[in-house]
Amino acid sequence: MGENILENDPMEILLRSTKIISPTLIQYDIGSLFEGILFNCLKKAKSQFDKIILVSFYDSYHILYHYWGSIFSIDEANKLMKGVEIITVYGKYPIEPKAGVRILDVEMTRLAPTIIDIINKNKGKSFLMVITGLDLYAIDRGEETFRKTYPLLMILSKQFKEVNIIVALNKNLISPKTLEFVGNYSFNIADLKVNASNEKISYYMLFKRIAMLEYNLKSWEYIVTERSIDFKERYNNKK
Amino acid sequence: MTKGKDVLINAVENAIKKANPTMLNLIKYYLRTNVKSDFSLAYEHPKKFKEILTNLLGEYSTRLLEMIIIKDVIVSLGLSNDFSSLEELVETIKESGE
Repeated sequence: MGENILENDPMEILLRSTKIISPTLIQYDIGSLFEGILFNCLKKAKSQFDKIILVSFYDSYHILYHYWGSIFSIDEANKLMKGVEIITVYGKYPIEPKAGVRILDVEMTRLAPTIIDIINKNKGKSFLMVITGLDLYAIDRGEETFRKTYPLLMILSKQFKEVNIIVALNKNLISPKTLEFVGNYSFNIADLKVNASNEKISYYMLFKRIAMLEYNLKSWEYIVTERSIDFKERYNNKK
Repeated sequence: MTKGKDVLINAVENAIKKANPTMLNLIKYYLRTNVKSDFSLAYEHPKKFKEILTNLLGEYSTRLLEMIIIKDVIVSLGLSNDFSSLEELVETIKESGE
């Protein structure tokens, strides 16, 4: 893929950087339509990784699945999730069987062993582990508990070189101290922002830290449509 | 205005301010022009309020705000139960006559 194409495809840059080194953090403003970004990210990732594991706290997978079904289409959502292993922790919704999707409901203490088990059963394969709902976890269980849990999950990418991690986390509803803590574990940070002025909303993505260094501090405006996400580079000056 | 309603409206405003202050006026505007209402809709019709937020912010962000609002109201009113939804919380507030 030529560099000109990459300039217009920040999700590709993010995935490539995640392959170079992870964990990767997608931190987002409320209302920044990160669900759409995650959809796009997973869609691209499916052709780049042998196995995708979605670790869902507090039914976040259920919320995302429903949202993707409403915005894009049920077929698209099903197609996206086909072959993805979902591990749900602290879920309350009953698990609805979905064709081609394996959903494992586990206790928190069984989370890491379950992930390790999947990795060991698929030796030699590349993994992308996407973690969602940790913000809901931090709100419900408290940030101190969150700070104890987080490193235990992140260490998996150190322990298993074939495991690449992306975490999606709201950045406004957890304290700056905890956000800094999370940042310390992240080699790549994509910041999703939303700006509302004069009854108009605009969305943009900024690479605050990225393994492909030439894209550090670059920013794109994006629009989520029914079919896709369109990115437009905002500016090149680093600030 | 009842104490419970008052506390809930404050919790909604605080949660949105904390999440993204720039969204506050936009959400107010959206409520005013689309349903001719304000944050009191969270108390009068919590389900409808969540639908409006979902249209604007997405389902996931709405769930985050909902959890923050519930936590805030539980502390402010000294409630002992836990609530899984805004609807459950409002029902309890209304029943208790707060």
